Amino acid sequence: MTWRDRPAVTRAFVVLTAAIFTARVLFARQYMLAAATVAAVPVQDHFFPWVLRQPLVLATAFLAPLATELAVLLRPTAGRMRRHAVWVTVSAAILLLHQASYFFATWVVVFWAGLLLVWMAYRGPGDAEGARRQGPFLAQLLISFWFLGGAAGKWTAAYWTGAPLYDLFFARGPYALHAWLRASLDGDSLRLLVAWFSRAVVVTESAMACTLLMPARMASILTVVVALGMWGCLGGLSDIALPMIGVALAGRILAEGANPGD
Amino acid sequence: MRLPIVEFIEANVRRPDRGALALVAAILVFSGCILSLPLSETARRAALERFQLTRWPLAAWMVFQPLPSMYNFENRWEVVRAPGGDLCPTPIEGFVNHHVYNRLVLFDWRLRLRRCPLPARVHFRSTYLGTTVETTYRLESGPDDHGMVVTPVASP
Repeated sequence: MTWRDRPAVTRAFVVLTAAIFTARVLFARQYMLAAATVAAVPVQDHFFPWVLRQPLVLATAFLAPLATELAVLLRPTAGRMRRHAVWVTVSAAILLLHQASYFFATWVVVFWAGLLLVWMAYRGPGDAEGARRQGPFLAQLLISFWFLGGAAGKWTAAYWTGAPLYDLFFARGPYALHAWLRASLDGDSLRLLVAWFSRAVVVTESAMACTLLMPARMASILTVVVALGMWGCLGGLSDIALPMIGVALAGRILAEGANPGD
Repeated sequence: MRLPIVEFIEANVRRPDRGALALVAAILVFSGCILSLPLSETARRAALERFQLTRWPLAAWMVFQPLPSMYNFENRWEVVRAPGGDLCPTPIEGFVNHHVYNRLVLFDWRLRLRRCPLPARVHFRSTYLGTTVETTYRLESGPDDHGMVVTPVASP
């Protein structure tokens, strides 16, 4: 069976799985380093119980979905898709609670994307028309939701002046684009550029919260462009951009719907 | 081609899909929490305290962890001298992207803080639309000089 012959749900599922898999592979070294550091420098605090501080829990929750991801990418059967959908969601939930990873937005995005995978795996293959009519909206709703969460917290004076992004990325960050800007511009010009960039981020994220009202094709294209823009301008955000792009592409594949496999 | 939102509503009016509707309901509940931020002082304070891991019971915090809050609020942190302690060789202060407590548990910050003379105090300050929450934690060496122990410092 060729790629085009597969049901749209299967193609959407595989594309989203591939996006999350790519992010996981890109960040595997960082997470192994994190697990080793957690073992070497444990932090005992007032909040996290013993189990949510364990390096083995961190490493297992991060690495274990690789097996189900690979299985789906090699041969996406209904059983493999269901097992993977559940496992990727559970592992993201664990990583959202672990002391060394709870703050990474990656797992917020992957957790919700995982729920979309669960819905596709259990609902989709037997009901191609239902998936075509409902899947695109679910994907767009998730994208709106993520951008709303990012935008609302930036409706502040500091983000309008660009101070947080300047301090976090442009003032000292190692990313090549930021280093080049520091070398090319004087201090005042760089701050002015970052202020306008930060305003553009606030306005774009706020506008993207309306993705759920757009046609499927436009929503998908805009999301991919904005996610690539975030990744390109700030560097290091591929862990959020990739799953987001995966959801956007999955929504579009579902919207295009029926083919011989359906 | 009709809008996906229209297709979704029509499909569910004809034959409700409990899985899809449950997902939509969860997103709407969390979106309501996000939209309450600019409107409610209580919501703002709770959100800022969530970032500083203060006054939140673990179970309630777990329920809200799927809430997207990337690069939210104006969060600053600073490592200051603890009574009886010394200053870090290089000053540590600046903005934090979101969950500010991450500065104590991120793997690279664990290593950097461990090089500071301990005990030390870490001060967090988060602000959003006129609401400010500040928390101070005491940082000291763990048992047998292994790792670190973090304890909240009571407000004066």
